[in-house]
Amino acid sequence: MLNKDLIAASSAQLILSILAKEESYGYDVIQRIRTLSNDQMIWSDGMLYPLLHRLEKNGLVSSKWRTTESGRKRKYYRINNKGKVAMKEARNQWQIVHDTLTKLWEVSYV
Amino acid sequence: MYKLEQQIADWRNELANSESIFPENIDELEDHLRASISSLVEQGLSDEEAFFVATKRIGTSTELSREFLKVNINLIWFQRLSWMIFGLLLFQVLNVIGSLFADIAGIMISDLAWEGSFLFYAISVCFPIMVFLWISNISRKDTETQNRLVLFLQSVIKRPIIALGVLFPIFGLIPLIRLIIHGTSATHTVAFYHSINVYNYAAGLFFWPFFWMLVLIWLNRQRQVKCQ
Repeated sequence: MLNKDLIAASSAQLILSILAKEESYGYDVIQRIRTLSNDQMIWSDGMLYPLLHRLEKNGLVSSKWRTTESGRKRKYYRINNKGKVAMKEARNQWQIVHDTLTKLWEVSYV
Repeated sequence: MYKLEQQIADWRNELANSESIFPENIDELEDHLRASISSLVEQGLSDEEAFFVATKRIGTSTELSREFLKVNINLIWFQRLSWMIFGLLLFQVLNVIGSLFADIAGIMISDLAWEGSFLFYAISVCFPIMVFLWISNISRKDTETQNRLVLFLQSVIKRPIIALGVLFPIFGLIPLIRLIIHGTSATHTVAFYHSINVYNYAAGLFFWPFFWMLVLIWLNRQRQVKCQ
């Protein structure tokens, strides 16, 4: 299981990256993160929603209530242009962290 | 037989107790809970087991309300302000009702001040009880508003002292304060409410509710502009 601080730091970027592929809803987002991380990143489910709402408040994503096939109401989230820009910026930064660590680890393993 | 729907309704009610979690948030969380439960049931868990696992995963109401508080803080303040204004409105309406009671008491017994105020308090106590009974009667017939009203009734039943505490200042304390401030101008309760004239009635019933409604609408618009 991943460290709590690391989950908190990466959560916004994870959500934005998932929503950049297609619009989605809370439960689906959490399931995808679980699957993609091989069950290594497990969030407390309820924490996702305040986070999504904060992204919406900052204008990075927008949301819409829709009725599903089973007749249940569900809130879908979609990434905005502002969100895409923010995602790209954050992506560069994560890349820097990733590259630096990779280089360091390569050296130490040789 | 395990009652899943009842469990979910109880869970919703528990979340609704938190000031920082709004009905829309609860709807969203409920959708999540149901999706989570049905996926767990597919994996072979019983309804009961699935419910407990799913609620555990979603987090306790304390954790949730702490997280939602950070996001909803502006709306929470708007809500508090609305309640304050609503309180003012209610106060004014009750004040008018109080003066109506005093008029009735004054007409029925005009000579004896003590008996007049006794009648006034008797009506003042009877009226809320009648309103209470009336509401409990509605809530049986009308299923749409039932949930909200039942919650209201339950909270009143749970806190009779508070209900009395609310009624006492409205009908008792105001004349008393006036008595302290003005000395001899209001010797008893009936005299105080009796002094309210027809313009006060009109203002209390029409003007002030209208005024505060306008203020609320204006505030609501400000909020919506901010949200966009």
